[in-house]
Amino acid sequence: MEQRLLENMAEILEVEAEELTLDTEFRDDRFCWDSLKGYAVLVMLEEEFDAQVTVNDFLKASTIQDLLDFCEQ
Amino acid sequence: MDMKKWIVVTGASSGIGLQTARQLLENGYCVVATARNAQLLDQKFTTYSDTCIILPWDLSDPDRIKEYASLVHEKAGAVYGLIHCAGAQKTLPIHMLKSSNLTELFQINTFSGLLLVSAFAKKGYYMEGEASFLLISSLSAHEGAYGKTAYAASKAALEGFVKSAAPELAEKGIRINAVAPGVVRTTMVEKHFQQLTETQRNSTIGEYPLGLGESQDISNLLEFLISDKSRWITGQTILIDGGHTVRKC
Ligand SMILES: NC(=O)c1ccc[n+]([C@@H]2O[C@H](COP(=O)([O-])OP(=O)(O)OC[C@H]3O[C@@H](n4cnc5c(N)ncnc54)[C@H](OP(=O)(O)O)[C@@H]3O)[C@@H](O)[C@H]2O)c1
Repeated sequence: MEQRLLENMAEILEVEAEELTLDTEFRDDRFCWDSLKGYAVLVMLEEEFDAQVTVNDFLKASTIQDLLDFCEQ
Repeated sequence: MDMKKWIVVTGASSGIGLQTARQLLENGYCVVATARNAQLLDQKFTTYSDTCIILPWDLSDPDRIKEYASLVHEKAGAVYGLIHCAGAQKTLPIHMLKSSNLTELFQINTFSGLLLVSAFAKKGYYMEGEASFLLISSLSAHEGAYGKTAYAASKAALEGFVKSAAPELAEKGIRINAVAPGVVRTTMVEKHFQQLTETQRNSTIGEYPLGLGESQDISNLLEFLISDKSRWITGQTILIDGGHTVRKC
């Protein structure tokens, strides 16, 4: 699950999966983070991992590990 | 109404299609109600047993649209109208677009609409001199709908089709138009709103001088365009958006 999440996040953030770890802060400026990428993460979590995450919970997440926690809940 | 006027309504299980089908039934039309979810259709239309044919169908398979139309023909005869409300929406950054997303959206939003028009424009399948076909586009085909590139393209294609189809269909006595709504409170929009922050939701609402639309705002226009009150209108895309495109900026 961890590798699949890293690959999905790499696609959204437009980087190679090897550049990401669970500690990566995905809202970092180097990823040109914006609301559309945020929307894409929410849709990806639901469609790929069946994880229904509320916007408020998502706003509290900062690392990929936080996203993995949603998937494992 | 003396003769039965059958209208095919796709997407009849939810939102704009459901409201439109119900309104037409209440106002004396007969409806062929289609969506994939048979149970939901039964639940919504059981009370109209004489005037409603429930025909569950997955319209995203372009190779089976003719089969669908001939089944409608077998059950209802020549139709008075077609309203293609079935559709799907997807928000995705451009760099994530895949052929599977495009196929999924274009099959239900575009190909099915075009092929339904083609199938029902066959001689004997429509009421000559009276028929009206309507395709539901979207305001996203007219403005920079952020993140909705594929959806906007799938709807814009309908509008191009309507313009070219109108003169050809006019020779058969069929009118064809598109309706392009702004944001209307339906399941499709509620689902999208759930994934926005409160600020983002309020900003969208704030862009509508007359507030967000309700399904009835659209069904009223669709009923007018289906009826002969609109007999001199064809080949048009009519925007209906609560003042969104003319808002104060
Ligand atoms: N709501 C808006 O703000 C808005 C704005 C502009 C344009 N529109 C357009 O208006 C139309 C209706 O939207 P809505 O908001 O009423 O959506 P909705 O509530 O989500 O309803 C969509 C309908 O389409 C049916 N459908 C979806 N895929 C289908 C398929 N493969 N085969 C047959 N039926 C299918 C669904 O039923 P099943 O799932 O049971 O198949 C449902 O009845 C759509 O074309 C949409 O793009 C909506």
